[in-house]
Amino acid sequence: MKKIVGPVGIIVIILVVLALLFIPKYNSLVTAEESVDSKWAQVENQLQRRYDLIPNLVESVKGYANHEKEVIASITEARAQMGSAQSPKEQAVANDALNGALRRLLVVVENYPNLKADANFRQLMDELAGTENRLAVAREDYNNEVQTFNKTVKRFPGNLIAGMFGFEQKEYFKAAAGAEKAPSIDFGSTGKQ
Amino acid sequence: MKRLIFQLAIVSIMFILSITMADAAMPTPKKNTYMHDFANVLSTSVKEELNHYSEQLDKGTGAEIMVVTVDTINGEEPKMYATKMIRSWGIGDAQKNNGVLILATFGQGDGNNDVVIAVGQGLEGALPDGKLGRILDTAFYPNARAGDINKAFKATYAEVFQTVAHEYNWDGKMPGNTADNEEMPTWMIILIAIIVLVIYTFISNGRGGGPRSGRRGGFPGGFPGGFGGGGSRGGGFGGFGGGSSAGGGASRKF
Repeated sequence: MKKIVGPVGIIVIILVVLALLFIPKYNSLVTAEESVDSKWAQVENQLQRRYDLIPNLVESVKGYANHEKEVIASITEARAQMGSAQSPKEQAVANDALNGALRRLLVVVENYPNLKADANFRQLMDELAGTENRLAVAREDYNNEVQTFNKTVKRFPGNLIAGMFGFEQKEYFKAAAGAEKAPSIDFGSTGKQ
Repeated sequence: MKRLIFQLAIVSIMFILSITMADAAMPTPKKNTYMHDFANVLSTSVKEELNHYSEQLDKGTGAEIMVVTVDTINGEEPKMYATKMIRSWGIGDAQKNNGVLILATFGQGDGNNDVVIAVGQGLEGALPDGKLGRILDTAFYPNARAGDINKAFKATYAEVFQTVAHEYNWDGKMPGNTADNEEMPTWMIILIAIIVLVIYTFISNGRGGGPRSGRRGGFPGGFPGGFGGGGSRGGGFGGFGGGSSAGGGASRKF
């Protein structure tokens, strides 16, 4: 009797131990993935907000500087690019394109004191700059979560469970090197000079 | 054994270094105050006054308004720096995330100094970026350019304070809007107090209670702060409420 139960018992014990080892790990992977997703939602929120602000900005620029067609076109284009981007990487690239276009706009704006002083324009620029900061914050939070998640996925026994249940490493929200620094949409008050 | 001690020494030195480096990047908050004038530009009376308002507001609503002046933020993006400060200091309530930080630098050279107002998510609705930018344009910038730093902070603070108090329907005493630079004469305050008292007595009598039936709840309308009602958090000190920020805010150079 003892001899039959022995090996079975050992297997059972091993299974139990494995389960005890794996279940918390599995759960922590699920939790980590969940928080990656929620942080990504924050990033998307801010991207969306930015996307929504652009048309108003373009309108108010047109009111004062309608013949700056090139800059206006590049902003509109970058926005369209943003709209069609899917993966974090694509989104990041599109976002950088938009940053570039906005940077050019800021140079142009210097030639239009009336536009620069326009209350509506200033408010939009503030919203845009604030959104940029929120985006930077959300991006950092997201990347941190991704890092935690990816570490778990790569390490033992997380890698076994990840392989078994199909957890894949997450993509960072990062674009080309050097482009991380958003343009500082910041301008001195109108009374300056 | 010697090697172990040696290793320990190295580790602890690294540890100390990392702490001091973090300190260099961001000052540590002092206890029991909402005013952190590291750059030493504000008068004691303004600091005391604004600190008093923040204290009342915190007790009444849980929202925290901090004023911080520093020499420099070492070239960091001002809104990002302020966001990090809200997070690391824990300005605002941990659940409501209703902290506001008014931060300015004074050692980066004329025209290169940064001023920023950053808010936690809980107040982003009341204080959107566009509004914060306008407050900086109208309340901070002109006064700071004119060289009156105290007035710049008072006017900025007043706008923020009133918006937050309004958001929570809290009728604590508001700081006077210093934009018009006229304080209410004392006789007018006394007169208003008397009128309020008379009306209060009248109403109470009308209800048949009489004014001696004990103080229930807060005094009606516009009476000096302190009747805001008990805050839900324990411990009197603000500033370590554990509030966070998603990065809302606006900034200017001055």
